[in-house]
Amino acid sequence: MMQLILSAVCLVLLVIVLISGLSLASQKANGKLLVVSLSRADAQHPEVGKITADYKRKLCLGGGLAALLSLVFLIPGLPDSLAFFLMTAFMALVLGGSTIILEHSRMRLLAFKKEQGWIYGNPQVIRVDTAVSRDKKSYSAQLAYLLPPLALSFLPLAWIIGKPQLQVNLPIYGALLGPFFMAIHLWIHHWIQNRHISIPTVDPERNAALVKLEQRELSRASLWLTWLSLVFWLILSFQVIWDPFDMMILAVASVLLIAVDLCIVLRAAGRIRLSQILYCDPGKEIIVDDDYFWHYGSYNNPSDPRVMVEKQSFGGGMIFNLGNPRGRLYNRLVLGAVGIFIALILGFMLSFDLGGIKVVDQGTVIRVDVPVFGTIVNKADIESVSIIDQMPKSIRTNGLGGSNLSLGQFTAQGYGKSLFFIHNDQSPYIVIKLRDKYLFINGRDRVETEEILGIFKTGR
Amino acid sequence: MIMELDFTGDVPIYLQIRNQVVLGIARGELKIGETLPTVRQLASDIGVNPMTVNKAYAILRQDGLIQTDRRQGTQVCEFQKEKITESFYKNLELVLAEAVVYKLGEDDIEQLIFDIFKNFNQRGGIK
Repeated sequence: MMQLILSAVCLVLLVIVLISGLSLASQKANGKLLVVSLSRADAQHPEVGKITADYKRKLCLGGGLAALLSLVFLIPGLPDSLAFFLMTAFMALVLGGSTIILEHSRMRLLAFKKEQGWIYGNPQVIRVDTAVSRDKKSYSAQLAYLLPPLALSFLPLAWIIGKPQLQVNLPIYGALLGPFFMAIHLWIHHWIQNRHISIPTVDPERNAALVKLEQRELSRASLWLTWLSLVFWLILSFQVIWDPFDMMILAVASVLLIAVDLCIVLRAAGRIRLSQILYCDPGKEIIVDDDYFWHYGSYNNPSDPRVMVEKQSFGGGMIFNLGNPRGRLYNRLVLGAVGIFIALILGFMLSFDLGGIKVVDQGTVIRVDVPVFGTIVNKADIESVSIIDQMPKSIRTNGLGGSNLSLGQFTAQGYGKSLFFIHNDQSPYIVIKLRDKYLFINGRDRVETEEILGIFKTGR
Repeated sequence: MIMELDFTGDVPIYLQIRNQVVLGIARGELKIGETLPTVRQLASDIGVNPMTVNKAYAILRQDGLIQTDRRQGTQVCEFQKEKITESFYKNLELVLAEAVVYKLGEDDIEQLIFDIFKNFNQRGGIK
């Protein structure tokens, strides 16, 4: 299961990188083509067409190779730590490879641009349309429309506070996840309202019309996505509270939600792109000739006081200006944090893969040694010990559900609150009934399971 | 009005903002009563500290070109001849001194002023 999820994550990333990479080969509203500033007239040159076609070919070829490489995740019995490492390496390869392909084509285009003598003014001049700057917030949907979904996202929390027995299925910290994601939606909406918008033309009326449409589309999309996320959150939380062992409805809802979300985003992007084509006047476009400040997708302009600038390469968003001391510092902090996070997760997973489950008889107690989730069982608490061939359906409440190991606290169907120390798919399984919960445990193989069974049976 | 700010130039940014607003009013790109962006919004769009924009707005307010109202925000206001400050005469004196240094006669300066005013009027500026 874990391998399938990692494989799906990698493929989704690959598709996103391919789509956004291919979109760079068609000219944007700010005149950028392969992150090179070109006027619409100059972009029609046949040599430019050849360079972009070559870039598309290379990107698709690289994408195909990466898709083939992702089959490695389907190797059965891959340890979790290795699967996670491969996923990180795959992501780095996809992002790095596509950036190198882009940079190579970009340099070719830049050399051709230089050869042709295409220069479009001073890149150090920043233009701001005062009317756009003043009105852009009012063009978008009000932030107040997002407050009802935020309030409604607290419903599951209110329910489990009112009925504490339901907290077995959905703990309080789990019920806070919905409001947390709603708050993120609110922040994104606020960012859309106030984001920096590059002025596309020298005509203020066209700018106002374009920005009005762009802000309206983006904020409406944000609004729809927030309400849909709320619906998903309510289905998820009530399903977990009501019947945590049957997630079929949730799976269907997830697929539907992703499809509708994609439609909303693509519709907004399509309408914005169409308006840019319709409203753009070739004689009045503003082209910021800042090509030489962009290298491998990063921006480095010491004369630009902005800490963050609009991203030009794969995907939307903002990136730090490496020419600005604060931008450089923040960039290092973010990269450092990501590196530490990956190393921690890898170390965490390695400790499980290398450590395994050890059971030690210590006289009056039996110690189950597992990193993080280890426990001590008082022999006096053991009420019964039995063997089952198939694990019951379960949901994780506070534990680790890897592809090879299931550790920590789970809720098992027909048993209730349980502690799992399970090597997945290594039947049989030992079920130990304790005073207040059940303990499920097994070894790497049948022999090891029988040894563990012996320890618990002598303890009883 | 499209404000153009050169970050590599010698002129401080607050002064560039102030000059751009003055030019915008003269060219008619900013109408009397038109609201300017808030200090925070403009600072965020330019990518500078809000204090820089605040300083520019303070000078414009002092010159009597804009006024700030809590409900309406910062607006371009009707300019009165009586409000012309001493710095205006000093700046004009300096410009005319430069013209003399460049050996421009009264007629040349008059012609230049006529051309500049014509340009402002063509763009629909203040007559």
